[in-house]
Amino acid sequence: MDIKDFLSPFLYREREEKEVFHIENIKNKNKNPPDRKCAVSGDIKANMNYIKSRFSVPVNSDVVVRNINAGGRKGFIVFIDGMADGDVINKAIIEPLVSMPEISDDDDITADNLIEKLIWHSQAKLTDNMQDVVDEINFGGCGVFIDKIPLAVSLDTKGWATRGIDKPENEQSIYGPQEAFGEMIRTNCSLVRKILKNERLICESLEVGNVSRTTCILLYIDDVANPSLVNEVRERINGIDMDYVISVEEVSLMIEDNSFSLTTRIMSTERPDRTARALSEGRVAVIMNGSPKALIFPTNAAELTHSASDAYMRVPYANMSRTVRLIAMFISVFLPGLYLASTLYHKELIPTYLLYSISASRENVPFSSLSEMIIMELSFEIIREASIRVPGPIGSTLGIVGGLILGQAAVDARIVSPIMIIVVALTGICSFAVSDYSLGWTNRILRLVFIFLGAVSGFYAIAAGTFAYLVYLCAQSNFGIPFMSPLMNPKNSGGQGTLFVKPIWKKEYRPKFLKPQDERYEPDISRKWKKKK
Amino acid sequence: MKNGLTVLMINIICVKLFLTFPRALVINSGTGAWLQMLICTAAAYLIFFAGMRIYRVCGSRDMIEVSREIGGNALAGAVGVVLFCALGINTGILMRAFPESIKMFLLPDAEIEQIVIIFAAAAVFGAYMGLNALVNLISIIIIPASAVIIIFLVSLFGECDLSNISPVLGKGIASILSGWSALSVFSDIILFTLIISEFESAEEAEKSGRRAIIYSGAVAVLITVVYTMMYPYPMSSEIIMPVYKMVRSVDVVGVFRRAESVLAFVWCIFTFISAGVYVYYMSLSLKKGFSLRDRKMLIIPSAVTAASAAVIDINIPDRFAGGEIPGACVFWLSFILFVLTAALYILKKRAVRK
Repeated sequence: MDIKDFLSPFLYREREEKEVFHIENIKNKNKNPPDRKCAVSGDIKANMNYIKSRFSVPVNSDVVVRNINAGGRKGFIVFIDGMADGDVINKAIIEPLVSMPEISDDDDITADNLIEKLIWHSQAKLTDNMQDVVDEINFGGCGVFIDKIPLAVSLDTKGWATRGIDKPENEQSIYGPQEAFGEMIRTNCSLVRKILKNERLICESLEVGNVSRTTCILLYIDDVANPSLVNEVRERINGIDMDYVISVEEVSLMIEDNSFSLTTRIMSTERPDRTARALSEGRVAVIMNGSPKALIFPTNAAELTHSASDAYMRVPYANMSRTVRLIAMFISVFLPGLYLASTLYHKELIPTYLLYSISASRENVPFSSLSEMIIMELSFEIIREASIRVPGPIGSTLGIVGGLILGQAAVDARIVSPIMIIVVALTGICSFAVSDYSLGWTNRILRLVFIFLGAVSGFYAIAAGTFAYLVYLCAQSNFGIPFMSPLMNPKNSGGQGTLFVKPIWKKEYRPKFLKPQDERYEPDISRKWKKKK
Repeated sequence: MKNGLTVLMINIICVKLFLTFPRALVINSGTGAWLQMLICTAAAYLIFFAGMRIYRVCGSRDMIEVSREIGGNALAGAVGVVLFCALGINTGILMRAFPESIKMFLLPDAEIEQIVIIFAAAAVFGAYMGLNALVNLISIIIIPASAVIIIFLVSLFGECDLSNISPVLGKGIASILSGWSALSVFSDIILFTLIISEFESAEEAEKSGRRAIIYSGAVAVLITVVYTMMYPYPMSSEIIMPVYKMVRSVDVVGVFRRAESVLAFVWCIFTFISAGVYVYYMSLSLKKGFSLRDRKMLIIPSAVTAASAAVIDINIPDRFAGGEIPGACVFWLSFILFVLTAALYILKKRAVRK
């Protein structure tokens, strides 16, 4: 044994470690982009090579290339396993092709004959462009190539796993339909079509995303919607220049007028009935593959406060519900600021005994009212954010822990006063009464602003803030329509009313600000049974 | 839009009614203050009516455009500056009187400069958003805000005593007829010389202006009547903030005994709208007068000019009332300037024809 071998465990050895990884700088490394204008060849080998190179077969393990013999001629089909429906491919494509009689070179067999006589599938298209076949395969379809035929057949064989039609999660309603959109675009279209049942309902297909090529459907009723509105929406969607567009929310972010506006101007809904109603009024909707929501254009300030159930309830109930929601919205935005303003600057407004109890409750609290308010509001927002991300079983527990125990503990520790807990809790509960999720965010941000304004100069600063926000809203427009238009002209608000719900038989006209082609929604007397015979 | 502009003018005239307005009338005419206000409203209506009849020849063009046609860019610039100054004085008075009132009854411990800065910031923001936004806002809030004011006034009827209004002629007809200072309530008509270009025709503009004078006059008379009936003369001449004193008497359902803060909230928003309109037209008068490209860059300088005048260490409203600042420069300009312009236009047209 050599002395070095003996001492080797104790001697210094240079470590054979890999260098720390850094992402390499590459510029335009892909100098050979795919030829998107390549035509289908009559040579089966050329087609096979092209498909294999485009889909990186065999590296891309879920792309299946299956050779077939169609009437003595070589051919192949290509599809993506997991996206295409295997049963449809087996029965409607492989079986009839393989059982084809022998084709001699003298026979005049064309791809047309294949589609008309041999392929048992309802949605088959001929194409001479390879890119069309690639797009179809990427979307769950199947491509069929036959030797000596310079055309390919692309077939819609989608069969990936999807969610069924569920109940709406965020727009629940006691009355009315209980269906919600899913991720499948055709299913979503069918949900709207089965409500409207009108051949004038147009489902215009658009593609967004240069690479993702996500299918987007523009819905409108051809003889109702204003063509200029439809054109504007179409232009905006076609003007999206991005590689990947994953969800319909990204589309709304790309086509909204002002990305930094506090208030959203695009309504999104997961209910087909709400979408159908909006379309019947002359609006335009957009749905996208993979997104269980529809965007509705245009919308306005009043409609963001409406709920889906308003249309299905009796007038007194719907108006009560709407009034309660508006009061809740007012409380959720203004209560903390008004509380601070009245306790700091306008104590004369508070009844004397209430003032005594507020003073008594704040006696040993070391923080100022503003600090207390900020602490409680931030805590509430943190609990709200945490409860969204916490796993299901613990979620409700967190609410109880956060709400009751922490709040009570904070009061016992004299960090905050009990009245502050009540104010913040009431504000939080009222914020959940807002029907639109985006409007809820707007209210949360405004609440913080009004808290600071109330602390600065009481009612005066709150009035200044209110004025500034209202005048800002009045200056906004949405597809050319003033955002506050129904509030300015309540008579022109059409079906759903502005602040209050009208009886269903009183909705004679569509909203005038939409300038629909047909303004009339109902005849003057839509309850013919009321007429004397 | 034209209804919105009418409401805007009513708002601009009426916001001043919540300051010291009824007190000045009572000092002059005693219990005949309401009659003085009625006569001044009628006089304002007649002057406006006669003036607009003459101005009809100019169509719905504003004064600066007409001046440009009469005397070229030089005259247009001069008229622009005159309007800027006149509007600036009105804005400065509003920027001082309103914050002083706010300090008195809402924020007694706050510095006046802090209140003026918030006021100026709100006015700048309103002017920046533009006239359309301000008109839209007033169209939305006029009904609920008017309901609040009407509820306040109606709840005061219980405090009124009809005997306080006698003698009906107060200090006498001579005092009533000599009280032309109440016409200053309508001095905001000077804005009409610029707002007129928003209308499609001079007839529409005239109708809108007449309606604004009638409605705001009616509100002024109503407030004066209620004030006179609530507080007997001479006590009514001693109250510094008459309308504030009135609303402090409101007792709604025995719970909201000090509900003047609610009225103050509404009044603040109305005043911000007025200030926004003033600053907007200050910047617009300079832009049109000197044919500038952008109006928005002039907003902050206009507001700063008005606010600076408001916070200098003298009490501008008192100086104005005492006659140290020539009262004619705004008061009479409001009623005479557009008539003068129309007259010059007619003379120019005749000269051209000859």
